[in-house]
Amino acid sequence: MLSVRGLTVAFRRGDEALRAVSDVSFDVYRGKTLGLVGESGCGKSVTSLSLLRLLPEEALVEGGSVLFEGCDLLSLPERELRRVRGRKIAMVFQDPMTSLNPVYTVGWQIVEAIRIHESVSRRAARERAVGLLRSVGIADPASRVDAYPHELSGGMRQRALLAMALACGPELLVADEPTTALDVTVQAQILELLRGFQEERGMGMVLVSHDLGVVARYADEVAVMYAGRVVERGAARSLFDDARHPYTRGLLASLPPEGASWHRGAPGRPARLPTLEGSVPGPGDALPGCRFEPRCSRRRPPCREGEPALLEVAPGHRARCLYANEAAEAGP
Amino acid sequence: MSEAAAGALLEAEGLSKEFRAGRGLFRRGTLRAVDGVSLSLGAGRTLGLVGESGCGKSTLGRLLLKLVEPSAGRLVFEGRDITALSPSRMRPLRRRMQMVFQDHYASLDPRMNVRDIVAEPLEVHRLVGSRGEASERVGALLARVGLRPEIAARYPHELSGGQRQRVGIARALAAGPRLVVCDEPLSALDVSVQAQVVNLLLDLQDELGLAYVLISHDLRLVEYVSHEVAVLYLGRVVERAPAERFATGARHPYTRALRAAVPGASPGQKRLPLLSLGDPPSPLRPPPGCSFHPRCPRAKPGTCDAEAPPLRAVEPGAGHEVACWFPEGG
Repeated sequence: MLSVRGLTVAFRRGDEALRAVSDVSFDVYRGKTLGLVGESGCGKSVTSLSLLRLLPEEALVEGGSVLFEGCDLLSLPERELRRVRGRKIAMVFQDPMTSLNPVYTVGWQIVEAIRIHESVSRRAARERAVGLLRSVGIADPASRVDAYPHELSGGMRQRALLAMALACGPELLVADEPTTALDVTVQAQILELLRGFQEERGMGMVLVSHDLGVVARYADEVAVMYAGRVVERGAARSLFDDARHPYTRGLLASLPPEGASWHRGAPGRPARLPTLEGSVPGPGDALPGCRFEPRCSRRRPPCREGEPALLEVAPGHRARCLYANEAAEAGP
Repeated sequence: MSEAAAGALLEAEGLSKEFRAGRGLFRRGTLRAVDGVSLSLGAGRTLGLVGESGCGKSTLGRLLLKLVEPSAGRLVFEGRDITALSPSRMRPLRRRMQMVFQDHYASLDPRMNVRDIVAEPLEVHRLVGSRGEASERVGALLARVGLRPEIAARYPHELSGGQRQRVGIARALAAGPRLVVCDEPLSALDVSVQAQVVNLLLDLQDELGLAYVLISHDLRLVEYVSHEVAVLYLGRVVERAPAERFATGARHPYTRALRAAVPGASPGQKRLPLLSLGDPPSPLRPPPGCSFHPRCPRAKPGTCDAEAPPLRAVEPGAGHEVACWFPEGG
């Protein structure tokens, strides 16, 4: 239902343009979740913002297309785009305090969201708002509907925001770190809730997260981003069980394994976590070859001779590494 | 606890902290952020404190360093009762008890460069004779936490999150502490940087025999790094056990829910039976009886909503305690 091809975004800084996102492609299917995962600065949020053209002014989409129901959202006139935004495609961001208006009650804001897109009476919209709040797990919705954002806990605010996003029954939800600021228990509830909605209504979702665990549990397809590129992409199971890109493998290895370190290393000594050396290149750093090459433990001279393509390593599973097929056997 | 008898570095007994809370003129109440917590920590060991936001873990961390004064209870550091010690008499002890914060954007003075930030504790505690000596020590500390010497001239805003966290650790190490309380030291960091900082903390402990109190909401990480873990709920310890027992043998329904909520990196795990859990209750109005009972799948009316369960040993000698009337099977 959503098809992103070759998306390339740069930010103007003075006379130069710094590439934040380069040649990003992925598809989102009805009722399925695409997980967009990576560390800070990898371009995952820029990617999610460009889907609905919500980038700041200094950003410049240099190329690519975002096809949704046969239209390219990147070239749609603003007036038509507004009909898609919020109605067919909704967004939820990390911080509900900045996405909710503090001077209006949550009910008022949900009513507005409904009435922008549909001609229904205020009263009918309000009834729907109460129902929505109930469906996202807010207890006593009939009185909470009149609460101001600051009167709700962080988890409640995120639920209210979700109710607002789901108000018009969107076909696609773009959720950018929707649960990052929340407790793990609340996070789990909200993600389960979203999954329930998807199953019920066939809603597609782009789930942007830095948390590999969240993506592993809730995404059907996963795209791993590094330095503005998709470096690996595939079905969640295939990607997590059989990661081929050295970056993906390194990230997975650096997660603490289940259990206590003190009981895995030498007696009485903790086991150390495997780590990736070095740090992420900036968007301005000129690297002729693979963007991960300087940190890669398996780099070879050909890695510097041009950026590798996203090659198929297994059905539906692609990795941007010249030696992706070797990575199946060896360590990160 | 057997450790305590052998001379723990830090011991707390019935530690409590109440805050007066008020909104407007009429609504006043008491917020019991920490409620009768007892614990003990041996030199060179790590105690993990986990729980949701508002559970009192950060307040407890500050209580243990006497950065906030306890409302009740007793605190013993290096065998000496420090509960009633005045700030001036605490000062010589401060160099041996330090803190590392979550967000070094907020805790590092933005107008000081890294050299001055790390040198400050050395100068405050008069551990160096000259500026030159201080700079030398700063250089050694930065090297120890894996930072290049050029970093000394930089300011906090010029550093990455991981670098700032290392500067915070170098500063905490400067005065030669024996106890370091780390409050969410990893949660603002990217996965790959997190692993680097975990390893650094483990290396430093190995080398310097540091004792850590590691405060985090991430049970998985805490289990990995700690010797012992205490789970806090509304200011009370609801379960405490050696870290390796948590993976298989958590007994409190809350601990189990917390564990289940942290997704591991293997896809297609079982769905969570969590939807009934709801949000954490407000510490201003704690529920009667066991404070977890409104969210608990095992709660029985008449017992759980009537009386708070005490922290009791699960099996003798295992160092495993749980505060629950109907703990889950081991």
